[in-house]
Amino acid sequence: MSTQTSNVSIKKEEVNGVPFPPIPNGSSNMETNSNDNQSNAENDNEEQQQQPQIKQESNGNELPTTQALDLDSTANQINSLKLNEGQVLPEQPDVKIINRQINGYVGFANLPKQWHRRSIKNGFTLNLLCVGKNGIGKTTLINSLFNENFDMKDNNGIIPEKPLDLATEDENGNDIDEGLHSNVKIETMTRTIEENGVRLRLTIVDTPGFGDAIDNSNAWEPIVKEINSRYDQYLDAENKINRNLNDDNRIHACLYFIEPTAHWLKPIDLEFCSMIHEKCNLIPVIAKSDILTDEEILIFKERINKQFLERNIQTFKPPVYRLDDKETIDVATKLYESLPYAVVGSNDFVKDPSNPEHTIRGREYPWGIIEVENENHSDFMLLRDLLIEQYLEELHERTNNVLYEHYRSEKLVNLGIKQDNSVFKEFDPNMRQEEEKKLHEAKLSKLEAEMKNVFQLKVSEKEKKLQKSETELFARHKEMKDKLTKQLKALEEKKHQLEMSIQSQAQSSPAQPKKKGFLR
Amino acid sequence: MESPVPSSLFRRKKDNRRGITYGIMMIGASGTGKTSFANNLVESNIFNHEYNQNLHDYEISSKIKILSPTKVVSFNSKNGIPSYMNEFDPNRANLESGITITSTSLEISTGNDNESNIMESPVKGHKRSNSIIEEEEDTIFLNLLNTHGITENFDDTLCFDEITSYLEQQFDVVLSEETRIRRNPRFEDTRIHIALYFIEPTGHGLKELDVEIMKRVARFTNVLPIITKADSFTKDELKQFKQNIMNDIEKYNVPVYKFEVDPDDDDIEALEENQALSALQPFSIVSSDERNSEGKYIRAYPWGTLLIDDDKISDLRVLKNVLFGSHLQEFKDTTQNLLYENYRTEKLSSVTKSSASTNPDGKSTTGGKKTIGNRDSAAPSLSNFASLINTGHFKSSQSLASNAKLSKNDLSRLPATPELNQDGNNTNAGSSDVKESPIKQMSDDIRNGNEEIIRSIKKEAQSNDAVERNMLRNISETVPYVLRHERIIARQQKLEELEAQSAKELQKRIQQLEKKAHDLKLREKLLAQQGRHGSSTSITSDNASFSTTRSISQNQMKKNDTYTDLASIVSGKE
Amino acid sequence: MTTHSVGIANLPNQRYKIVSEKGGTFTIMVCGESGLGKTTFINTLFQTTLKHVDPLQRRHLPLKKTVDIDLTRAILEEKNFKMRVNVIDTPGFGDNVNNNKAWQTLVDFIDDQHDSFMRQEQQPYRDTKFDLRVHVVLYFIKPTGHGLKPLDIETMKKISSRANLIPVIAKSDTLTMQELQIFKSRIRQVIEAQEIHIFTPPLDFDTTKDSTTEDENAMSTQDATAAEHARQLIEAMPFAIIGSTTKYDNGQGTQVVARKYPWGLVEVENDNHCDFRKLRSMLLRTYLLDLITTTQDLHYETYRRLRLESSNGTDDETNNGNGDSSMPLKAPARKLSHNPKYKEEENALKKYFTDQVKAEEQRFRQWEQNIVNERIRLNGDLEDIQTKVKKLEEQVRSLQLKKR
Repeated sequence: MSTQTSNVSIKKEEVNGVPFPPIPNGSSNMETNSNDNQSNAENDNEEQQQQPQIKQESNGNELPTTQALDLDSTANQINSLKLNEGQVLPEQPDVKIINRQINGYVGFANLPKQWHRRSIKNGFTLNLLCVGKNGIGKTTLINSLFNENFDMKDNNGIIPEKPLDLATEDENGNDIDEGLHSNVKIETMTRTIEENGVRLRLTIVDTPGFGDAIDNSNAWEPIVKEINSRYDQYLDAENKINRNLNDDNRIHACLYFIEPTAHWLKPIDLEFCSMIHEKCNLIPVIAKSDILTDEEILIFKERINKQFLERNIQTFKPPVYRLDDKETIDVATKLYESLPYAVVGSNDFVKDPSNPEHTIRGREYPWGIIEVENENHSDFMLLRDLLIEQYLEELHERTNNVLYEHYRSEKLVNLGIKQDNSVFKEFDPNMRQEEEKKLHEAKLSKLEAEMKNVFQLKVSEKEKKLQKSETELFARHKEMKDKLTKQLKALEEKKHQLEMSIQSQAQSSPAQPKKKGFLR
Repeated sequence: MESPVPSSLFRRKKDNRRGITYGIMMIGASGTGKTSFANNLVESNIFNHEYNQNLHDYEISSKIKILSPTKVVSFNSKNGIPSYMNEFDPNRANLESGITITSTSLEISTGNDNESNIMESPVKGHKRSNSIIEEEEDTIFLNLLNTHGITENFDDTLCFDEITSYLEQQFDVVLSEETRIRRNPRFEDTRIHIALYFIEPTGHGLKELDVEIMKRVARFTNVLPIITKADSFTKDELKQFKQNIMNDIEKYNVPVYKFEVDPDDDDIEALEENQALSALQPFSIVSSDERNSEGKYIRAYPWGTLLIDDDKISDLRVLKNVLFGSHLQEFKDTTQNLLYENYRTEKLSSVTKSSASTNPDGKSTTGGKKTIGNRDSAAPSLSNFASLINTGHFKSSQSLASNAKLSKNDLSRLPATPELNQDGNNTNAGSSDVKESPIKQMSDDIRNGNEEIIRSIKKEAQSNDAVERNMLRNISETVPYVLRHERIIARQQKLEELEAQSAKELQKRIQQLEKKAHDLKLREKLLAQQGRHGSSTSITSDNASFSTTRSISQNQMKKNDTYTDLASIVSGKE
Repeated sequence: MTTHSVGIANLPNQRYKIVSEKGGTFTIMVCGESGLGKTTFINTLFQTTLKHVDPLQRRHLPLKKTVDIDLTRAILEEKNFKMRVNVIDTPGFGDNVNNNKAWQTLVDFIDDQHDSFMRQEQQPYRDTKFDLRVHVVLYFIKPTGHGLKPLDIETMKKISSRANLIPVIAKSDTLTMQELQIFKSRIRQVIEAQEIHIFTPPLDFDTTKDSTTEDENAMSTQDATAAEHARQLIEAMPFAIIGSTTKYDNGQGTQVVARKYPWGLVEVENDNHCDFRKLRSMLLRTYLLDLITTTQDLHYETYRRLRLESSNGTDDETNNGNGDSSMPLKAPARKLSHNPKYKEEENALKKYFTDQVKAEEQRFRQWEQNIVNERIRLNGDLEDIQTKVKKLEEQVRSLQLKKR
């Protein structure tokens, strides 16, 4: 639900043929569509379930209504037909979910409070990218916004903190086109600002040299590179075995300073914005707006928005929530509709005209004082609301959940990693048991077959061997026996003949030879 | 108050001149309150709790005399280490405790003081006289057995094996004594007449363990299931739980003792009493070691205090009455007349199978039928045993058994068998060698006997007397040997197993220790290195060296610990 | 100088709002023998009947049970906050005579969920992930008054190395105060001696900052009270609990959840009667987030690291070959969990074959013997003939001599 608005931003994206060649147009669209369907479906379901549920509760019945987490299946089907990329949820098991409202105080509703406490402990971070021509008042505006005194030009007293390696890397990357086109540098400064015990680790990423060269056609390149390398760094950290994701160096928002020309946006502005708007949250501001009249500002804003619309450039839009009251929604609408903010920054403090004892941030002109923090004088307070007071964490959320995810998905797909949607199958104990049973049975039957095979082979081998030796035995025996019997027969014949001849010779005792043998 | 004495008491009084020998065994999962119940049963504080040797002060009721203190009579465990009454040692809590059976002999005089209250029947509208006390002073020689360690093992199979083998041994002892020619006048009957099975108060029903143990044990003794820690149930829950258990008993065919109504018995009192008891089953009890100022046992909770013999809460008084009063003789009778007789028949028929097979068929069957009939009338209440009776192979040998008993005296003039039976008391070493010869001799005897029988049958088929006498002689000569021999073999096997297991355990421990020592050495080295590194930086070096020394000393301490561990294993093995 | 605040102070509120909107997921596993009041406790904790105590259902089950996974999913809404609650029960645990490896099913489930989440996380597209990683395991200890059983210790050891473990003493209304104190201290001793790592609320509140401003002081006092609360909880561990869903009049006209005995009313939410409130604070009201984050940062990360390390020891080359650390590391497929029944079947099969082999060997030996015998017989036969032949030869010779 929080992603609804952000999804829209991607949905309207149009690839201008420049830096993201591999995204098929449809894929991202379909992807976000499916998401929309999903969240809508969930919303609908919940709402449908919720209504009767409340009635039941009031009746005192605690009948659990069950609901299958059935997502919009038709949408999924269409998706799966059209493309193989993106997340397509597999067919989910029939999962029963009890929906119930609790009247007593159980205590899990304290979770936001616990987050509140925790967030104070952990502190906050904001990595803010500032892009704009030299002298357009970036530093002044930042100083005014955060009540600090960064000095970006000289780095006086400010230690350029991390990520040093990133900065140098990018500068190296720049070196190639340095002479040819622009000389955009990346400079970062980090400060920890504390207010009422809440700490904000603020990192300003400045881009001196942007738009200062003669040929600025590729001025966006080092900046996009910087953003990407920060994403890469985070992705690496995420993939490490020992990972620590507490350090978030991703750019959470980009303040783009528009020159107060009161004409149209220049090609470099449009080029940059279209390059950047799907990489990070884009917040365009009209710098030094005190030189424009209110009317001029209005017209200028209108023109800029029209141009943005033509190029499908999406600026950051504060999300609207289910629980938000009308006031909050109005504020969000106003913040969005007032973009780009016409702002004035000031390093100076002047006497508060209404209360001379106080000093305020402002610019004193002969014709009057411009109070930076006066809503009637500029959109400065709107910017502060959007950037810090109301939606800083939303910038984070969108960066993390939408922009980074988008970057990551593309990168991984380009690396040839295949999406395996089967892992998104909900856990179901019965199904799991069945799966295991199947696996086990397969394993068992395989084992059995193998053993049987080996067994039978061995047995038949042995059997053959034995049979062979058996037949051999018999054959040899038969052979021998035959031979012997033949011999025997021959001898008997001979004996008989001899006996006969002896008998005929001399008719003495027939038993004589036998007797003789016996005596011997 | 002057209601007639139930018939069971009459039966009992016939043979209690010198006191009644009575065996009760408590079986149940660890932590179900067996020890507390034992203390409550004798109204004393004489049994120590597991790990809690000194929780309560020792006290003993004036009616109780300890004849022999609690001793281990049998044990078994996987690692060869019995764990009964060990000091509580968290380091060794992960070892399986095996099972230990302990026995305590007590003399209970059912005197006439406040116990009369306890003996009073709580059954509503039905007052029974506290007759035991009024009639005369009785003495019960109670053999109270307790089981320790059930459910403290991964696999509790060894628990019920041990218990059943113990019960069987007691039967064997009696059987061998009975069949001996010269009887020991000081022979003690150690059979267990009733086993109390303690059911865990789950609120669900019986578990596999419950059913298995009760089924096995029921072959040798009466089983009375009782629900412990009944104070964990509200009234409705308890009712439901009792119902669940009775359903399970029915469903799994668990042969528990049932207070069934004897149709032949026209004693209305007994009938009503049994009906009431039957309705109450399984009894639910609450036990406690704590007494209030009036000397009554209580359980004191932050939300209230309860008396453990409050009839609204527990059936403790009913149970006591059943155990020591109304059904004492009944339990003894069924044990002797039904369970023991069955066992005996089976055993003798298996021992003298060869001689029994030569027995004229017609005679044995008629004898068998007769005894079956007797048995049925003797114990009509035990319908659950029908299956047991029907499956026994005593049919062919029944006559043998009963005749042997009858004509034993006639055979007393026969020469005593060799002195070898003394060896039965020897330790395992070498006993089997000695035993070889009597067995051989015995089998020779049997063979001779058989030949003789065959010869005699051939000679004079009419004279059954001679045949019987021969057979009887065989029995009286062989049975004690066979039994003893079996026992010795079994014991030796067990001891060998235990020894092997403990050796294995020892080896395992030694290996662990060696590994640990190795690890420690490595760590020491590492720490020493760290200490050296640490010394280069100024502040941290102190801490580092300090921590190394400390850790080394800790290591040494740990080593010491493990050594004592080792020692304790060794001692435990012995 | 005064200016408007920058707005940083409002950041925690943004987090609050986002979490409120997103809702949460909480997966709780209850583990312990049957009849210790696990189901009742779950219903007591969430104040609604999530799981039904159904005595009839039990009747149909066989006596010998395998340890199952019983999963109840619910979306509960409290004060507009939606929580996805998954309750995992493990019926059959510890109910058998042989409870060896009874913990395997639980351990496998916990590992499986980590594994499944890891695989989902590795996919290029992963917008919708299902997450059943167990945030906390409640281990129900039987109120024996003795100590922990080996089964308890082994199971708790196994669980504590992969999930947040909170041991609780079930049905503690059968133990008097004194008994309970002794029981608790024994359990604590065993837990310490056996190196079982149970979940404890964090005590290490940020003291590194040298706070000087007033806000900081206010903060630190808040931290101090939280630390005190945590300390109390730790001291009360293992929590003694009772469960009930019925309300009774507590005598002062208030309806309280309690168990009604003839000797008194045991109030669930009375700190003098049991530690239910402490446990609830631990589980939901105060430390729910800690349970969730330690599951993610400690247990899940540990699982992931071990899995990837074990698999990458072998195919290190291929990973380096890709040269891009953006590649998610691949973990090998999880092996089949060893259901003891399956193992048994496998062994039975093996045994069947060994028996067959033995039988065949016996047959062959017999056969060989037969052949040998036959040979001997045949040789004898031949010898017979040979002797006859010899005899005849002799005779013939003598006859020939005679003839001359």
